[in-house]
Order: sequence, then structure tokens, then C-alpha cells
Amino acid sequence: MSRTVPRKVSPWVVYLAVLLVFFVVCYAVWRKEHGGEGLLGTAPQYAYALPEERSAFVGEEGDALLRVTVLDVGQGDSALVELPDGKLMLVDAGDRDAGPKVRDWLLENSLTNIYCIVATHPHADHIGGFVDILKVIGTDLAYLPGRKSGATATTRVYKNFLKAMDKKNLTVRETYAGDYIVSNAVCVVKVLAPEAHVYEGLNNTSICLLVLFGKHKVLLTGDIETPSEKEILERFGDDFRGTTLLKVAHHGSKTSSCEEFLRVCEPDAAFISLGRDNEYHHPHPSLMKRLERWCGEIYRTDQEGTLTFISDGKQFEIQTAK
Amino acid sequence: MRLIVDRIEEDVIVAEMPDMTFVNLPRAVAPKAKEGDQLVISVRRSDPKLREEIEALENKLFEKRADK
Repeated sequence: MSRTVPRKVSPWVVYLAVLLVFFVVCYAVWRKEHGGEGLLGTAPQYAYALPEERSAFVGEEGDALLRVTVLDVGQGDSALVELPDGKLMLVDAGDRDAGPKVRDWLLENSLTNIYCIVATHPHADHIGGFVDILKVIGTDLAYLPGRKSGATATTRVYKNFLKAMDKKNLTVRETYAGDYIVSNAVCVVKVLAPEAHVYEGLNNTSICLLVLFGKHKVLLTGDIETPSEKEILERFGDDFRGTTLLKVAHHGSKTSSCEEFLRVCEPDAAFISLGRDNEYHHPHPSLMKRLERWCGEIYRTDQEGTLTFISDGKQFEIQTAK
Repeated sequence: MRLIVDRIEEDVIVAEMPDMTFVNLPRAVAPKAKEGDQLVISVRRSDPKLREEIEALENKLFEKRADK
């Protein structure tokens, strides 16, 4: 049996230890003041995609923030919503080629603890990437458009997505207009579409989300087209009047973002997610004219890369990767 | 080969191939195709009757050229 005998510590050792702690604290403060993460900080970094100005956000230190990052996934959609209450929502995942890119971005930024995924509708340019992403993220909840809207695809990509969710044993919730994904004292995520009837075309089955935080409203539209937009206007027009940020529907197609919808929405900023020189001629010139008439600033992932909206509920800021 | 129509973007049919890659086709190839439909591509040997007709036409035309 051994005994531990207390030894006398040299004053020099104590002096060196204090000096070391002093230098570590000075270095942490210096890094924080110069835009880097403090040694003890846990805030996610976006170094590869976002500009260094990120640290210069208008909000006060310690404020709860809403952050919506529309990732540059080429011709497709994927957005990470970081809610002010700390929950993360991954809305769409781009196509199969985008999957590894989004997966790596989430891993690099330690954003893998996801509250829920939202597959707005079952087109391959929105759900194709989920199979790769589901392998690394921690989540047990998925929202899909309700089947009464006719949102069933027959592609192998969709089947594989369903299999991946089954393998991960996710709780999959069918979603309809009027549902709430999050509703608490800090923020609200409300579902504005689809309604529980069959639509012509899968685009119109898209889940449309309204995120409310402070005086700001963010509208994530999937690929909704005019029939769905008109239903949303009729039922929820007052809810999203004066939107702060609009994620433009369907990559800037002419069949979406009709005049009446934009007139009510009248967003301060609009994000368009699309691929450079895409074969579908997105964004359509007629849509761009409508946006120029009703929107404040217009940002495009094909020109400015990944786009980020940050709000403290009172003021907002937009950052672009390029 | 069976292609599954994933979606229709403007005048382009985006169809899924058996290996889960996607191909863009002009909508004019199958104007009535809708999402979820299958486009079946099969290969047939050329129709002998059609070949005979074409060859007869060629012979006629070539004779004409030879006459000139």
C-alpha cells in the first residue's frame, strides 16, 4: 500500500504558474477583440464561407441572435436556421452532389446537433443531400409536407431519403398550414403551407415557413408557385406583411413570387438560391423586375456565394461569402 | 432504360436515371410527361420496310444526280 506524501512547492513554480495564466488570459482577450473566437468561447465559426466582418454585428454582446444561412449549393436549396433559443433547423439539403458539401460545412462549424430537418418538398434538388448529412448529424425529428397535399415522389433519390430516415429512426411529422414547429417566448416558426388538399405539381406542396423574432420576419418558401402563394395570401397575409427577409421561391422561376404576393411581403432583403449559368434560365427576367419593384436588396448565391442574415430582433445585418 | 421524371423546369424535363444521376431533356421530347412519370427508352433495329423505302428514295435521287 502506498501513501501520498504532500511535498513543499517551490515559490518559483507558483510564480511561473501565475505568469502563465496571465499570458493565456491576455491572449484570449486579444483574440476576441481581433475577430477570433475567444479561447473559452463556443460560438460556431464560419471562416470558410463568411467574411471576417461577421464579428462586427450591430447587436450587443450576449444578445440572442437569429441567424439564417442560405448555403451556396449550386442549383438547389439548403438553409440552416439558428434560432435565438439555440435550436438549429436544417431546411432542405440541396441535391446529391451538395450533400457532402453541406455535411462538411456542418462538421467544420460544429453545427451537427440539429433540432429538426425540414424537407420542403420531395424534389431531388432539395432532398438529395440529406442521405449524406443524416449520417453525421444528431437529430431525431423531420418535417415533411403532409401526404394529403400529394407530396409523394417516385424517384430513387426520394426512396433513399425515406430509407435513411427510417434507418436513423427519425420521428417524421406530416406538416400542414397552421402548424407550429417552434413556439415559445423567444421565437416562433409557423407553417404557412401546404394545405391539406392535392396540388398540381410537387412545387406547390412545399412547406413554407415564417420565422418570427422580435420585429423581424423571415419567410422560407421552398419552391411554392402562384397557386400556393395565393392560398397563403388569403389565410396568412397579415402574418407576413412587411417581411424582413424573403428566401425567393423556386430559384427565381417566373412561376413563383407573383406580384400580389410580393406586394404584401415587400421584403427588406431577398435571397435567391441558384446555380451559376443554370440550364433553366433562373432567375427569370420577369421575376427580377418584380423583385426590383417590391424588394429592398437582392442577393444571389450564384454571384455572392453563401448568404447569411443575422438579427438581434431589433436590427439585422446581411453577410455574403464573396 | 426507364427514366423517372423528377421535375419540370421551364422547358426542361429533369429525369432520374437508374444510377440516381439526373439528365436534362428538352420538354419537346415528351410534352405530356408529368412528375413521377416514367420515360422508357428502348432500342429497336431499324424497320426493314422503312429502310427499303429510304434506299429506294436514295437510289432515285442518286440516279437523278447521275443524270445531271
